[in-house]
Amino acid sequence: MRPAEPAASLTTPPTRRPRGRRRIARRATPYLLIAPTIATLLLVLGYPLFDMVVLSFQDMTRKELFAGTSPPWAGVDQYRVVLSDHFFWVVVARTVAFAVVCAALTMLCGLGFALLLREVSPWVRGVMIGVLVAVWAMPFMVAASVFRWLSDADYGVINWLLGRFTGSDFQGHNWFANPWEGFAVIVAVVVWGAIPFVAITLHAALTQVPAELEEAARVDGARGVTLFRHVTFPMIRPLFVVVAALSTIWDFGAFSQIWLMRGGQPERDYYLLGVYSFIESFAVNRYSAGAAIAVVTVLLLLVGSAVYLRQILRTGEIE
Amino acid sequence: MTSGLRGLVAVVSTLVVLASVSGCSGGGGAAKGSGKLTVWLTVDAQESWPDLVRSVNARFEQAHPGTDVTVEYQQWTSKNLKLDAALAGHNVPDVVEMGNSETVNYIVNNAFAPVDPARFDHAGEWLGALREPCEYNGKVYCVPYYVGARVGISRTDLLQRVGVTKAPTTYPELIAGLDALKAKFGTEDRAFSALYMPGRYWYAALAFVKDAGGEIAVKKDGRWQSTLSGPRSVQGLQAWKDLIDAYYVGDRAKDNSDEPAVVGQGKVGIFYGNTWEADAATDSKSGGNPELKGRFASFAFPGPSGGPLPPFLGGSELAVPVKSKKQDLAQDWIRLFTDRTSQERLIKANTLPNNTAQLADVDADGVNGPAAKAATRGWVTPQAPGWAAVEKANILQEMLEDIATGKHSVKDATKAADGRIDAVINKN
Amino acid sequence: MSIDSRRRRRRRRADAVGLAAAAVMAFPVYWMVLTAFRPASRILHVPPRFWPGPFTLDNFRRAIGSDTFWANARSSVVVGVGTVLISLVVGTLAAFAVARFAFAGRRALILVLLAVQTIPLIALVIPVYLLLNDLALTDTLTGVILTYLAFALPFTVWMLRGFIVAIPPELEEAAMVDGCGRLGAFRRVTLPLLAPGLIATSIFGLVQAWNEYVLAYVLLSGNDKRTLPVWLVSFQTGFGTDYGGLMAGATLTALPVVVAFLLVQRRIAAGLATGAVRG
Repeated sequence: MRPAEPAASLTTPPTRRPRGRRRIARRATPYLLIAPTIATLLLVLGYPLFDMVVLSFQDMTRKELFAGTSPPWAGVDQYRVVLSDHFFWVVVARTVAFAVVCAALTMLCGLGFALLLREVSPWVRGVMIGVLVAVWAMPFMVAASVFRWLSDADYGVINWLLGRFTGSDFQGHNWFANPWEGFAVIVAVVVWGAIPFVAITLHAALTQVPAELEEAARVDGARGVTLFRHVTFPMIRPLFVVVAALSTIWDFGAFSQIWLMRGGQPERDYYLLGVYSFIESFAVNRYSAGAAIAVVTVLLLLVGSAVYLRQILRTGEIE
Repeated sequence: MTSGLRGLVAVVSTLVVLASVSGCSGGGGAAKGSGKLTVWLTVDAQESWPDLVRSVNARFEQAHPGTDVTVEYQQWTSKNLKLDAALAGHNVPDVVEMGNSETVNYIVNNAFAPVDPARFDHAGEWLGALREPCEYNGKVYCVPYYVGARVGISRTDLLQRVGVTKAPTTYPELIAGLDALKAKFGTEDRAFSALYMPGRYWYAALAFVKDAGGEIAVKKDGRWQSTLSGPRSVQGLQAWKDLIDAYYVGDRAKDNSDEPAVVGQGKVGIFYGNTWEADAATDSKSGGNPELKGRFASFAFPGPSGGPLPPFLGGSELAVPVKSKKQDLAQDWIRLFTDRTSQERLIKANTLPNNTAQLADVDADGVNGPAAKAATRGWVTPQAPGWAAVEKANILQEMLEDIATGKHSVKDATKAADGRIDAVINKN
Repeated sequence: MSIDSRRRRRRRRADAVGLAAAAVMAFPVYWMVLTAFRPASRILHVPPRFWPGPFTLDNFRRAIGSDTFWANARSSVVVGVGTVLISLVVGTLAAFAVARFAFAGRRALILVLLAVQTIPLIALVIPVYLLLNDLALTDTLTGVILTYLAFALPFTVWMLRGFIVAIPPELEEAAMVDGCGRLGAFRRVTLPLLAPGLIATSIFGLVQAWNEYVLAYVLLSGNDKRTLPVWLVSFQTGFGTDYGGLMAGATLTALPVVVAFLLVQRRIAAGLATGAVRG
């Protein structure tokens, strides 16, 4: 993790180059290089995002949407209504808990896989990577319908297995009647789908840890957990934090899994911020309230991801 | 390495060009606007009467040379999101299919153009359940397409084995039949349901509300008010809950969307559904079992009140978006698609026609006979501007699930639902 | 000797745990493939059958035989490949700038790239639709590619930046001293070294673009322009879900990505290893 300082060395102009126009050209180069990216982001994300923020200060109904007329200004009314609703805060707390639990489990399992990948024989590694890749490639909606079916009350494999191994009767047991159990299934889908990315990325990082380093530590008597905690983990820590932060962010915005697992009709017990915003916008047609919820979601995420940004800044690499 | 790299760069740039070119040709920007009529139907037409769609398109293109019809099939669950986006833009379909409980909100928000009923066959005899959702301020904004009425469907072979040879006509007869089924097959197989009635099946549950003389919502002084916690509504829902408790052993938290597949597994004695679901239960394409062919019969489901259970008339309408640039052509396509001949084809597909005149043509002894009879007692959801939101926010489904699973009493669940419905039912 | 045998035991134990973990992970995939080959009447069954029984290709026949399968597959390929290639080209430029130049606004750019990933895509459906509508790009694959680019680019730039940083700038400088321009140096020195990174990054982008559903559904209305995930939903009809067809279709949809992934697997591991640690 040597702090890279390539920028400095390249921007010091080689002395034989003439100054003047070329220097301006060189000054302009980075901006030219980033221009296409910036343009795309501004157009396809920036503009709609701006739209969304404006929308959250208006009161848009289908009438204005269809006619293309501009909706009446509502000031902070939407926010006042949303933020003063007890249910909204329940959803916020639920979303935070969901994201943290999912991300923690994902990182734990992903790290476990990555560590295992180092230990196993090559052919087992091949099998494991093949499985990870197949899981990764599975479309969301298919994964959701498979899991929905596995957890089906009447035809599900899970109930059958539980009945088989615990001896008690699970036939007809509905996993979604109790939100705690329902979320257990949903967390399982999310974590299952997210493990491959984390496992493969961390595995790649682990292969970079010099073998001599661990060997030396072993000679010094470090074993197992101690070895991992004091030698191996510090090496992959920066990446680990970044991946963990990304996972949390993605899980915070979870929508498809819940939407699909509840057959497009989630109960209020299953609302997370993404689902709540979507229902307000597109089911109840309170587009502005939906937009306000989305804006609050983004703000919460930005606050939360400050940790992640700080870590990245701290590694010093973007200096 | 360098030459390999150059090759790579060449391949990359070619592919980029190809991708953007094919992307553009995929756009077909030029084709739009000229001679193209875009029709959005739901997947039902694709599944059940694709030949009708083809023949109507052929007839239309003959009558209007130079205009091609493109039919795009939509899913019920996600159709409106897509429609909202399209209606907000300029690139709108010329004809859209809407559920009869979805139209009101679109009409009051000026999404659809008025149509001239005189152009359509049997316009004077359109079913009320389909006509009313199209009317607003004295104008007609959509055209009835077809309707379905739910009936009881039984496994005749199973009923015969418990000694029941004729379809139940009264509620006590129905209960007796269910008891017999439960006593024989329910004890043999704990997964056997004498009656299939999942908890979120709101079309069924609300039929019991109607049967007890209750209402979902009523209009008072120009404002809609939910009345699910009224004494009659509660009585109806209690009867529905008692049926579930007594005869249904499956998952109470799901809806009826996989009904044919479940029935196809052979562990259901009687279910309440559309007549085509009996066919679907024997079709492996929808998860059914072909071996069950010929073992189903339909009957008018008796209600606790003594009469037949009033069925929800779920149907479809066809509307022309106000932004369509070919409204006249669009109406003409709808005219052909809903004319007498087309409706005959729908009757053949075990669907009910859009008018009372042809309802009489439905074979009274056929599988759809009881449905045609029940249709005259049918009901529709409240014609309130916010009704679609009530459906889409799953208020009814959640209330029923709470009742069915015993999480809340009927009284508490309906009270909570009334509050949530009142909050949205009057909003555009 | 004893150390050796202890190692062997340790490895055997690891193998067993690894295989068990893989089996648990693989089960849903196995279930999907199993169902895809099962006759429809045997699919919903209690108790579940875990081993292949009667075998049928009917589900695949029905999936491939559906009217729009090939057209939808083509759309998916165009969108997937288009998104990946364009984001690689555009992303490499930006990543190069971020990794190699010091310029005002660089830090801000990086923060934006990271922050952008927090935006919930679902909230932007209608604004994005209206925007593409103004550009006359709804119902075009170009529009979908453009939208996906916005979501793929930040990640691409971020990943590639890590890879480029890992390449010693001295190499480029040496090439420049040898008379190459900066562009020449980039092409001859940096790009070849970057190849594993490009491949690794492209796979991430490909998986995302290949499996995205909501935007594709809303933006594309023509039946034959739809991408495969949208097509898959058509197995859920008003009659119930055709699980056999759905799972067969899903298997077909997932297959290209799995194959692509396995083909370049080694490169990915190598690429990630160099790029990732500095992520």
